[in-house]
Amino acid sequence: MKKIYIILLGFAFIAGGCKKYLDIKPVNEQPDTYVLQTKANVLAVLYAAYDRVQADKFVGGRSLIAAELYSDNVDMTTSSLVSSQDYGPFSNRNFGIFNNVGRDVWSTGYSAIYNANIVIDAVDKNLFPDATDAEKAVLKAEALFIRAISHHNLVRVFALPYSNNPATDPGVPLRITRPTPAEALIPVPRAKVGEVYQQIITDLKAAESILPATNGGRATSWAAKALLARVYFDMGDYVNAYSYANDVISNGGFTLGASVTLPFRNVGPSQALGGVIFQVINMTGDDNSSKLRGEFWNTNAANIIFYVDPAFYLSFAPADARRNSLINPPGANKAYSLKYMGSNPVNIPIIRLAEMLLTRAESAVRKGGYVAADVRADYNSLRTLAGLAPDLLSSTDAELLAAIQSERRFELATEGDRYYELRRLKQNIRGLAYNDKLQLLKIPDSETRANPDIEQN
Amino acid sequence: MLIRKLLLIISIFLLSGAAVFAQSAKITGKVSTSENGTPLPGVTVKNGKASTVTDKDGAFSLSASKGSVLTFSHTGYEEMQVTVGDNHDLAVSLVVKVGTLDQVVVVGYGTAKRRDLTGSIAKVEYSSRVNTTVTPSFEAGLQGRATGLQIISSNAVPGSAIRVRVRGQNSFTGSGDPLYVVDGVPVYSGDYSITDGAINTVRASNANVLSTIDPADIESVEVLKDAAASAIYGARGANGVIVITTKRGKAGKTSFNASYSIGQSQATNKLELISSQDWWMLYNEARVNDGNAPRDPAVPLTINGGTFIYNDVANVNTNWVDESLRKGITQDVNVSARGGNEKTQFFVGGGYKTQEGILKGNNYDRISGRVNIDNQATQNFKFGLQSSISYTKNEQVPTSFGGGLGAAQSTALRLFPVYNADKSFYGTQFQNTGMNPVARLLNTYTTKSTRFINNIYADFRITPSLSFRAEYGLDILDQFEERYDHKINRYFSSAGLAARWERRMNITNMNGNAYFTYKNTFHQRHNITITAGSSIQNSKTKAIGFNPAAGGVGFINDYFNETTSTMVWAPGSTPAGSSVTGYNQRDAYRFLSFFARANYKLSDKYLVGASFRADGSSRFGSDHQFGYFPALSAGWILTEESFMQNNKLFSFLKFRASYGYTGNSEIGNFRYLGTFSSTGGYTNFPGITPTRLPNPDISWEKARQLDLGFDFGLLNGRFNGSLGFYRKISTDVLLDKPAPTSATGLGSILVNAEDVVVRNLGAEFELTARIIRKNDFTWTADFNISTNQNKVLETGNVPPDGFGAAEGDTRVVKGYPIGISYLAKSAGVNPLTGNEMIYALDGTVFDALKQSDITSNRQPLGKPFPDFIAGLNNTLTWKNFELSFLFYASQGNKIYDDGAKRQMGGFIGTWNQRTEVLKRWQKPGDETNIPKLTITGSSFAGSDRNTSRFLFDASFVRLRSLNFAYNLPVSVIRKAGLSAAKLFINGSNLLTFTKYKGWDPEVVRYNFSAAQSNISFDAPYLPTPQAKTIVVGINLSF
Repeated sequence: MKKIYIILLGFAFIAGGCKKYLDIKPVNEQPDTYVLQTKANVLAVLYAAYDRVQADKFVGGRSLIAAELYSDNVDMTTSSLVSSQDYGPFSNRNFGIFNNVGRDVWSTGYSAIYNANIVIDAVDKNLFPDATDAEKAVLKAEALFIRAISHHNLVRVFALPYSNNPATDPGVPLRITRPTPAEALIPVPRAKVGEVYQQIITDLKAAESILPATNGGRATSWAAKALLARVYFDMGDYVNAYSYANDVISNGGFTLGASVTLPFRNVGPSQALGGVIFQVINMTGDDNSSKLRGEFWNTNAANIIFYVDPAFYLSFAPADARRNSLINPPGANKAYSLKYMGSNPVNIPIIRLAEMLLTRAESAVRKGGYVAADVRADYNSLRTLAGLAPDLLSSTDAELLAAIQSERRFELATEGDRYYELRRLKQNIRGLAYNDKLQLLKIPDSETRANPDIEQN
Repeated sequence: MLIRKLLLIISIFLLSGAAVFAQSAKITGKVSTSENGTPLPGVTVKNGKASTVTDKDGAFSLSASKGSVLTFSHTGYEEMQVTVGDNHDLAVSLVVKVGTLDQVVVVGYGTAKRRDLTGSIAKVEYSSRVNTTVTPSFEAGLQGRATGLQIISSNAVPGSAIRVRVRGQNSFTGSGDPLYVVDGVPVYSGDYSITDGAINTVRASNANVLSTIDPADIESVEVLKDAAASAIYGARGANGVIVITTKRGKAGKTSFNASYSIGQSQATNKLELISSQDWWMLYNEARVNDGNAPRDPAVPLTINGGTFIYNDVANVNTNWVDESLRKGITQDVNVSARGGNEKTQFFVGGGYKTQEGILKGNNYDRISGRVNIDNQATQNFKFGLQSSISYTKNEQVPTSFGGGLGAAQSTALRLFPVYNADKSFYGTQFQNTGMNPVARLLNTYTTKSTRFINNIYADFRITPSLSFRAEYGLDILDQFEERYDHKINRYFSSAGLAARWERRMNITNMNGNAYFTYKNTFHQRHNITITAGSSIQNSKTKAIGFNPAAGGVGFINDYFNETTSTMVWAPGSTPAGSSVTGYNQRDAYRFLSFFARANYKLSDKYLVGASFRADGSSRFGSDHQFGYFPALSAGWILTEESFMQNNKLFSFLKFRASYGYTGNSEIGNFRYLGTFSSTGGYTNFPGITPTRLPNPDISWEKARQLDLGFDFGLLNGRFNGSLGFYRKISTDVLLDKPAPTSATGLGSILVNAEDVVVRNLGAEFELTARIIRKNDFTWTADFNISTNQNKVLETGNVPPDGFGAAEGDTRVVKGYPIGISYLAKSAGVNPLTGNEMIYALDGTVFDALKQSDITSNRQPLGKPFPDFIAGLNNTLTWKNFELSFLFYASQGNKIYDDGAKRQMGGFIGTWNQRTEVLKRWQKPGDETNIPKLTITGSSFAGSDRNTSRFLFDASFVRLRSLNFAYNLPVSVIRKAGLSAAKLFINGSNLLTFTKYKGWDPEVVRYNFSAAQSNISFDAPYLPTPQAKTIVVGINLSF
């Protein structure tokens, strides 16, 4: 009998020896200490960074939507738009910190930047020995590209334009290191617009020389150069804008193709028809295009939220293929864009050859020392493709700029370009001056609640 | 008092008379319990010095003369005196003693007598007090029956969540629910349904796995409230512990009990909505206010996905609320047998409940069985088991934001007909059917759960004073969720195809306890009880499921609706791989604990207790796995002192005090680890992304609690009660500390902020009065009242918006209770402009025209918790009749009606409107509180337009339960071979007194996380009301 009691006593206290009993690990998620030790995992972190760029909450969706709703291509009187909690404030310029467009663009953009910073940090600290130096350099270059395009989208959506006062206007917080958990709690103020643009340029220049020319739907050297052209164009640095646009057009091997619809019908990583230089890839199983396909277009056209502004629709030339092939005419419903359409996933073009042609044309005029026929040739290539007669007359600076800018609005309609064009040109936007903060989304609550002193729009 | 004295005098008179004159006769009779009429063996029957004991059938025989007084006594029952009259065959029914000092109370890992307690424990005699036929979840029956316990049923949906808070609320992020222990073993509580709202279409009403426990199996429920009582449960004691004891066998003849009841329930209240004609009139008025022309009633208009021509539907006035509600039938069958001999006792019970909810399509069925066996194998060895199994089928329907009754009060406009002219559903066929709740009912969502709660124990008596007990418990929940979407509600391309989602989840929770108990008395004055042992728990969760791969996947034709092999890519879709995607999930946690408790009693007067628990958990990083939870307590029984011996008032008076530490570890698993998870791929290559930032320093939430109280008995135990005060300070409250999103894209890091402090301060009073106690008439009243003041003392400098999980506009604000509404203060409607005016933070009043006017002038308003809650239960018996009724009151709390801002905020366009809107502002000079109607301003009516206009007083008094029963006369039932038969009628929520204008003041918002449950409970959104139920039934014993 005594033995039994000893066993019982043992049973009562046996577990005490086993602190190991409590050491169990999760299986759904991976503790962070394991992650960055292999090339495959670091690459997967990079893919997740691309995923953020692709997301319908950021570059592949709401970043583009925000730019369109800021400007004048979309009919801002549609009742479903006006009554939408997220989109209504774009109509009446009455934003709150809880606006979901602002929340999405901000958090998804910075999430992309964080993932990019993890990759850069892992390369810099040489955490994964199973990759060659060349492989590491490319991983880092891709991460730099993602960091740059994300900072650029954020600073465009949340800050006053570079054309206003880049040295003093608040941009967005610059995040160029991977923070420790303790550092992640520390608020960071908004860097100046000029500082943000400088960092974007630094990142892109570091990336463009290393990125490959083709990269299976991911960032390429041409994408980095085209983005540099766009960034310099934003800044009014037309010499550099011309130089990078020219490089891409002359050496990138991109062609416009045979139809204005081509850039908008690519699916998956292997398709880039119609002169697409950088696009976010959507495909079955990984589709982020349904928001654009559901809001600019819809299987039930009555449910569209972003119809084309009627006056803008009427301003197209009747023969313009960009009107006839890319806009559904008004009828039972108002006119709507056909750039993002269909029931199936579709890639979203982010930078196209057409934009580079227009950027090169305008930059040539702005920097001076151009041949008018060459400038006209750039935008006439778009007119010709659209089935319009080429412009053979414009020759003065003013005539050429007017022609280019008109062409730019038609060509890049509903692609998120218009707003930044108007700001660069310091023109009024739906009744507000280009530098009126009232038209900007607020820095969202997800930032202000931990960073209450951040300068608000 | 007078009556009692009078009785005494009369008795003495009769007795003395009887002794002289009366002739002795043989008196026979039968003693049973008033609880269910079963015979009561072992009752002592005394007539002066002569006495006898009832046999196994409760029968006795004794000689007595007319007028002599027989005294019936039995442990645990009220003593009863019966005067012998002409009837020599007596039927005596003994009433269970309540709140008395000899009552045995279950404490953690042991029991104690109430008089010896130094902690604060409320005991509810569940089986004798609660009619278990009405609701499926036992917690609902506790409402109003104990102090310090706030119980709110979310709504009338059977099997839905019940909010239980013991002495207020301590946590923001961690769970605020108490620990539930059944027969010594912790069990799972909460909601384990699919959390993905895109898959689980009924998430708007939380489920409750405790509803798998059959309330009819429960004997009693103890609520461990203070640190002295709950610190033995250490890291899980901070929210209080609810200890459930199931029914056990009793030695004696096997008694059988069978009951059947049937009832009907309906909504307690209905929200009045304006007619479609009024809606159209107001809609056009709003258009005119906005500077637009009224809509041409002959032109098609699309609202909420429904297209209509007003002239065609002008006479449609669909009452979607009535289309969504019904009168539901409830049936309950229960059979049990209990008995045994000196060595072995058993209880075997089984029940079947089928309940139709008040929402159409919402049904709940449960079949359950239980076997409890105890065997005294040898003089020193006892073992036994408590084993239960239940199967529940819960057919749920969407409500609140999910649709159903929620849509009926919002987006299902009364202009929309149920059917088109061709009898097809309006609004279906590839449009949004969310606005046709009737069509939506063709979809089903069924949760089938099987739950085993089993435990075995072995008790060894090593020496007369030392014993050892080992317990092993197994709690297994096997839950199967099935969603089926009818093709009419699917809108892919040109053809809808039905589809199915399924998930099976299994929780296996193993728990072992082993402990020694030493009990001894030295020199007749020193009583010592020591308990010490250890406990381990190992819990694993596994889930497996499948979904259609895309919107274009469905069943190949109408014949098929079950198997995945028949679910295919629809014609016209772009097939991409498998048509069905599967997944699995895993989770686990473990506990390893050591505990000890010592109680010392001197001369039955002075009591001292100490307890300690060391708790280790896998939930915390390796440096913080163990937490230590001590508690001290003391008691002084004043009535044992000589100076109190002569007092007439107090038959018992005890002062007690306790202080100790408890913890809360309910924060989810592995939260200390920084993790990456496999989400977010690109170009079909998988990605991994950080999902959480690490914090290895995470630890328990700590609560320290001071408890002071008096327990008293007055006038020889005729009144019993207690009065208590407590202060509970919670520190290191777990908090998702907001991090700037720009740092990582992740919004927060979980921290135990030392400078986050919550205080609960309260007082509790309860009184049981045995007002009248005669053989044919008894009246007992129980009254309890509790008040708790909840206050956040420090928030660690996190601003109100940092508590981001909060839905509605409820927040955590320093200096205010958890879940305070954070709103702009409304100043009514400006009679000149018709705009709503608000108070700026500096007190000035202005027309709020912009969203930023609201957001920048928000301030803490309202009151999430009541000033007090109270229960008053009266039980009366007269001859064969029994009547009991429980009133429950909740006074002083306010709820923020989150849906009202769109139902009566002045914004019209997409939602049904409450009738209050008819009194809107129309022209300068109108005095009203409904502003000028508008449509275009409706983006301003979104979640950010929260003003105190929608903050309502939710005080109420409710007739929670009314029970009337008739025990058939002995002469009748004996002929039928029965020992007792009872007919009863029970009503719940029959009367409600409230000023609240919404559905029902007793309401809890749905939640998706513990944080929402803690912070947003008081901001209902399109809620479902409570049920008013009437049940009739019969209970037979033989």
